[in-house]
Amino acid sequence: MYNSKSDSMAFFSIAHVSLKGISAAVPRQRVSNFDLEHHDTEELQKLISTLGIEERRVATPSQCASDLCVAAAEKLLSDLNWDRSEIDAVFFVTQTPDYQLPGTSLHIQERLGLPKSCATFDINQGCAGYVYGLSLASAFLSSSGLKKALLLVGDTITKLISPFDQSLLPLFSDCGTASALEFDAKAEPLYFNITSEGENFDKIIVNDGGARNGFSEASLVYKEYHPSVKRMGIHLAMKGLDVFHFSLKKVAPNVEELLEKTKRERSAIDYFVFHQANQMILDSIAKKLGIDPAKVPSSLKAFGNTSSTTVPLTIAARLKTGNKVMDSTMLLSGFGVGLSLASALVNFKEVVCPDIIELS
Amino acid sequence: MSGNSLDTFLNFLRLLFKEDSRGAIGAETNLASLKEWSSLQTMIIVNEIDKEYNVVLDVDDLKNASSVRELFEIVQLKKR
Repeated sequence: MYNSKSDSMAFFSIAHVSLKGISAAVPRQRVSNFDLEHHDTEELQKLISTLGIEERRVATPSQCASDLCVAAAEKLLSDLNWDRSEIDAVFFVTQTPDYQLPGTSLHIQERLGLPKSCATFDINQGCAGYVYGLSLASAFLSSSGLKKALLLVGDTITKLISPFDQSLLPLFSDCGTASALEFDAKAEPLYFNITSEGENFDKIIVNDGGARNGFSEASLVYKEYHPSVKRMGIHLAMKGLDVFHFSLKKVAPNVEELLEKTKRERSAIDYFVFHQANQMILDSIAKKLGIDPAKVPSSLKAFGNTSSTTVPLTIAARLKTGNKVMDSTMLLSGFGVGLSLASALVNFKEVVCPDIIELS
Repeated sequence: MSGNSLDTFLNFLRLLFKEDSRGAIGAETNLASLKEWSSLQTMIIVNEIDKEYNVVLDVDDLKNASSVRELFEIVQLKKR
């Protein structure tokens, strides 16, 4: 293992862990952005083309992120032919857990029929959550000598969006993913560059319902913040322009640092899989990095912004042939809520990837 | 690359708005007062200024600029 820290970055590598599979499950229910209520059709068209989002997947009231992740994990375990009794740990990354407590990963352990010897972790991370989770799960395997772990990453952010918030409604979509990790003495190292900006904790926030601002009657009162934005305290609030500024300013340098530290030319990277915030952000980051847009896959059109799951969902939607991810070197990067920003360099070799599941 | 003049900046900004509202945009216009102003339009402008001038404006910059002229001055200041 190797690490190098400065004030602005934490670069490290994790040895002996390989990614064996990725799968994704989305709600069957589709919602078209063309059906959004909007005062002006020309404006709506501009919104859709700027965001790059035409359709979103919206969970039913009874569908949770854990349900989508369990469906994705079931399919992956069966395609990998993994014996459940051999799974040593489950990491569940979400911002939409089933309950305030206990941690959702515990119930997932039971639902997937995993052994009692399996360790369970809940991790509260969003847009950067896949890379964060990948670093934790792989570090756990690498240092413990244990053999197999599941990284489940899922969110149903649509449950947190006010039906009267026209600024956020067109963006968010739901998804659950599963990734399989295994100890492998011959694996190439995974490289990470992870940063946190806690001073911006309130840029994307659900104010009420936690211990700081407990749920009360006042949590259910709609307030108007803008003629097109009304929401309650239990809804997601986002300072969009601040988050946009962060994305334009911080993501490209973070990726460049990781490339420099790993001594990789841009040409050595087959795909740059970014958090799917919106198409304008993806295009800008690609331009800043001077990379061919063809190397920056987007799953926005059909799946929107699915929070923590955008990276694995985009791989499943755009970078697979048959039932495998294309063998390639990928740079994965997530950024957003926290605010946090995390990038990883991962070599994909023989990574199993079933078709995306649609869950009713 | 755009030149450094206010005129060039004005022409650049006008093109980011609908054709029929471009005529109304002058050096003293407060962009936030335009009918077309929205959070989406703000993001588009921030993005285009970044691409053209390599300056990422933040929320305070946009709040502080009461006219196109002031916005232009902020962009010039940040470019240095």
